[in-house]
Amino acid sequence: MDSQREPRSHQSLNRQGSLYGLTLDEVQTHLGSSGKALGSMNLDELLKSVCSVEGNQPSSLAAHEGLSRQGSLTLPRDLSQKTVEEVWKDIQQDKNGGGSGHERRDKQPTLGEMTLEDLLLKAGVVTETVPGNGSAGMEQNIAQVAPWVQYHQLPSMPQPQSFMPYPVADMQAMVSQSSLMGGLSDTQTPGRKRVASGEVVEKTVERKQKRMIKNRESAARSRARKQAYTHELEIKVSRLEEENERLRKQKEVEKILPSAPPPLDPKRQLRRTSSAPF
Amino acid sequence: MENMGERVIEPLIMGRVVGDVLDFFTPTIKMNVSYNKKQVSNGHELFPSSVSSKPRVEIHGGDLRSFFTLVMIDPDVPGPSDPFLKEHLHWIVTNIPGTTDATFGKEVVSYELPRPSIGIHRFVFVLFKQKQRHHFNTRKFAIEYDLGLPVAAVFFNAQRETAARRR
Repeated sequence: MDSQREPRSHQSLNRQGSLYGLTLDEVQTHLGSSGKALGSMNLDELLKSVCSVEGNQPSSLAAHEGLSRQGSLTLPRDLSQKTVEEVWKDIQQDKNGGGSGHERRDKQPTLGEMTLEDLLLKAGVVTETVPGNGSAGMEQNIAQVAPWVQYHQLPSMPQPQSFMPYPVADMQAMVSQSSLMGGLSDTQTPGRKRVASGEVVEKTVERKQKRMIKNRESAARSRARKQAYTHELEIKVSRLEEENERLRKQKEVEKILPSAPPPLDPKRQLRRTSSAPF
Repeated sequence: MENMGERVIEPLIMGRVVGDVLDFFTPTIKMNVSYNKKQVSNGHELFPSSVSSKPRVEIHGGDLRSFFTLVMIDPDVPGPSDPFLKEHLHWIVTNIPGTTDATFGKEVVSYELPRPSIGIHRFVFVLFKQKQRHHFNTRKFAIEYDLGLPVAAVFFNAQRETAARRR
């Protein structure tokens, strides 16, 4: 199977510093004692190990969600059973044929230096993506990763770099943080907030501000509507009260003083006619 | 003519009709617009189903020799937050004689029922008093509409039908 550019699935990776940016060497390091050799691992196992949480985490947040969400990144049958080494061989062959259209021209002379992303891309599991256009499913996956992955990507975290026996308390803090940031299902912020990528954060802040402004304007219009109607009613009431008063007074006046005598009714009047015979 | 009061225009200002659609003005005519006997009050909300037919528009004021033009528009198209299509024209009736109603005028643009798609729209009725036919000035008219000099002219004579004429 060669790595064609056309998508095998509808999934896409967000390029900006995902867990898939880890090189395979790094992945190997962390799997270390618990995982088997990377090369002979098939893609399915590789992904599972990357995304699963080591040990049994009592916190239900990222752990279980991560695993269950992982199901959305479904590998095509034929790929999932392939081992990493086999995929690598395919990539090598394809390289000779020329791999065009790939944005990042990273040369990976050895398998170990290749990043997960590139591996999956070249294996044809995922497609390239436009920055800022990550699919929701993938984002959830990326967010719910094993905390040790985050250690790599957020070196500013004040945690010791040794992973193997990490204190559970710290783990939970990281897990809750990652689930907090990744679990936001705001439909208007497709950008991933988990990683400190300045551009993405800026965009989401901008969008939030725009939304806030629109909301404010809408609220102002609502108030204007309400006030206009209330004012209209007040004016009407006031006018009706005045008229009412006026009519009452007029009625009073008419009781006391009868107004002008009723108009002459020609039928009732005495008429001068020459009806006498004489 | 009854006293209009300065307050009559205030709801129009609060609802931003004066501002978005009209400039400040002093109302001098009492106009009653009603759909199915229910009078339209500034700022009140009506269902599109109840405004599907043209309303009754009464002009209380003026005289039979003065004529009025009625315009109905929607300034909130397609939606109030971004009305990039403003304004949408719904109705024009001209030559309405004073003290009568719109049925006595000429419907220049036929009534289109309101169908607001996005958000809450305002639907505005505006009444204008037409200029008198007397004291018309052709030269002035040409200048006003930038018509320049005429390109043709012709005239005929006429007197009262039953007037004594030369045999």
